[in-house]
Amino acid sequence: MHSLRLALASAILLNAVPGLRAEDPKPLVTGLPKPLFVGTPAPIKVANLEPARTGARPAFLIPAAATNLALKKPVTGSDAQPLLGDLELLTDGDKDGSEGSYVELAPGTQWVQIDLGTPATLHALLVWHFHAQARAYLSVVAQISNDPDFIRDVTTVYNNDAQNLCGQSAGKDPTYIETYEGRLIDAKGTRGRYVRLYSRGNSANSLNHYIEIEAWGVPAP
Amino acid sequence: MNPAARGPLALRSLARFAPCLLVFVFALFVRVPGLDSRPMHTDEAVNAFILEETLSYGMHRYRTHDHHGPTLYYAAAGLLAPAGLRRTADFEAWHLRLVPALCGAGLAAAAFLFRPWLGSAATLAAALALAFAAPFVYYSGTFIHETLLLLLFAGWLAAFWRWRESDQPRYAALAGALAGLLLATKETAALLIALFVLTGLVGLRFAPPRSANAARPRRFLGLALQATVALAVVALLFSGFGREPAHALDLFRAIGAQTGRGLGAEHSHPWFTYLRWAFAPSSVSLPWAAWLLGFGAVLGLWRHRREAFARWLGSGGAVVFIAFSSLPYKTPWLMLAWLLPLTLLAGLGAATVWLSLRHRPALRATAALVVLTLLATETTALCLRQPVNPGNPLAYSPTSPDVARLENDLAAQPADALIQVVAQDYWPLPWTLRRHNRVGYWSEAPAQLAPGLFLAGPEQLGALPSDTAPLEPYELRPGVLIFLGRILR
Repeated sequence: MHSLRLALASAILLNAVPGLRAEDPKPLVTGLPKPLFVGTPAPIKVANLEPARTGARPAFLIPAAATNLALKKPVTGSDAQPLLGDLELLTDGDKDGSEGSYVELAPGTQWVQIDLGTPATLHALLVWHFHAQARAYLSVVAQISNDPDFIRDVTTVYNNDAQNLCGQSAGKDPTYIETYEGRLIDAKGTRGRYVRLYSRGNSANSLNHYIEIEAWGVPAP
Repeated sequence: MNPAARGPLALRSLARFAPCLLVFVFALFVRVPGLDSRPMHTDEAVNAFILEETLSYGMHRYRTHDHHGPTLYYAAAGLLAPAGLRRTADFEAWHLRLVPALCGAGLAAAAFLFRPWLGSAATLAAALALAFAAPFVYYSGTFIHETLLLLLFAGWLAAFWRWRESDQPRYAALAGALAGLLLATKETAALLIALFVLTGLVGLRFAPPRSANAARPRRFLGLALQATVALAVVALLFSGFGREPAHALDLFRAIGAQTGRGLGAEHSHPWFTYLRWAFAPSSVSLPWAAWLLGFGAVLGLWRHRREAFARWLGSGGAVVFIAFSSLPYKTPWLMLAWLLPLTLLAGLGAATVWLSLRHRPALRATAALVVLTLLATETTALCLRQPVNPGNPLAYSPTSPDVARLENDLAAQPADALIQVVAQDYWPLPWTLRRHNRVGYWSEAPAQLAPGLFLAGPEQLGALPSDTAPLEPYELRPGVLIFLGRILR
């Protein structure tokens, strides 16, 4: 009898007081943050800037046997003491844009070089400089060679250094805004053991950065 | 009055004002096609939301660090609110741009204020240049403060010179009222007014005005009257017409912040940048307006160098140009401040040429036609065909036409679909998404994003959850991307 009275009282109470019924959850609705007013945006002062692509990046076909030959390969560079990180970050497979995933090199013209260990037929390079902020890296030159000193037998597969500031001759390729996708460079089946990339600062500051470099190809027989 | 005399008087009045009205209508006609020719600039989009805030709150809330004074918003509110347009969701771009378009047309007509000093031919030439020249037309299609500022500045120039010549208090009061409106429009007006007052007063030493009764104490009283009226107008507008008196002098609290902006690194460009923007050929057009106006101004100033008004325009315009070029902070619409006196002087130059060819009517007509054609060519290229081309010197951080693609792609979404915008740089998306009811904006990714659509800046993509649908990039401005995606869980 006592338990019946208790049950009846609970039922009355639960129905009388809104929100007490455990079986009537409601979705949490809260206000969404409004936009913050900003001033006039500053233009990105970069010559020959590539317009944004419409749609997803088109598929780039490579041989079925091609792999990322740069993964875990040794990296050398023009800056022996990077300001942040180590050169080995370039081939560790981590493409995250946060601090700890990229190496920061001194201002001015700098290069990094990957030794693939064996000559290979390269079909594509993928380069991530920095994408925690929208910026363009300047005087980007990508080269492939069998000469570790890049004196003989050098093939340039990308060059947007219109003013030849890196000393690798002037190029006509466009400057581009870095994104999480990385820059896909058509290596056109170039044979080589070494991959070298130059840069000279970026649209935000004079420093040089690399997150990751991939070299997709097939080892030469 | 004799009814017969009323007829001719009315006709005389109509004849007197007809050129002014015709120029106004013509200038408006030139501007209307451009009202929808380009995507909303970030500044326009922000101004649209500030206008909504003003209409909602009942007065403008001045921000000392940015976004300028209340007059543009009150003018827009006066035009749009009676038509029932009070929220950004109600606005179309051309609604907002009608305000600067009317101001720009008014500026062309305001050239007739200077007829007593320029003469009819020079006035008409200056009016046509103001109606037609690319810089004036371009910014007449942009919902920012500049064209309103210029219209008020033209009125102030005329009122100030009237006072300087006559010492009459009514012109001092008028100049003061217009100075107050100028200051309530944009902070740079303080510099404009100061430099032109200074050059005007310096010129008094070398060219006393027509008024023979000019006396230093009376002149001082005139200036004091102008300052008092200006201050009263500023206080009235900044206080919301007396609604919040505590904000009456907010303009003066902005001095530090605005001075810092002018001297700081923001929008910092070399001293010759205005020369480059105005006079250097671009990939879009040759700068016919600047070249013709520059040549005409030099010719007009030389021909009329003994006239005080011409010297005042020349010296004032030159000092403004030097002052603005000295400041690191530069944006192309600031050029209008010295282009206005240049254009008035160019009217004198055009009149000089016109009169010199009075015995060769065919050549005179041909020259006029060539000038108008060149101006029209440049205006068409810069204002209609390629208004947001990065090579257009008048386009500064323009919004990319790609934003229209984003708008179209989102049009299929219901108005109450959740859209989460996460980016350090997301304008003018609030304008693009103004008709979507559930949009949130974050500069940094929140702890958790809800399932649904998001628009993320490239710097935020690494923080997104793994169960995200493929991302589509859109260009907000040259070099500024936003990525549209969907969180699936």
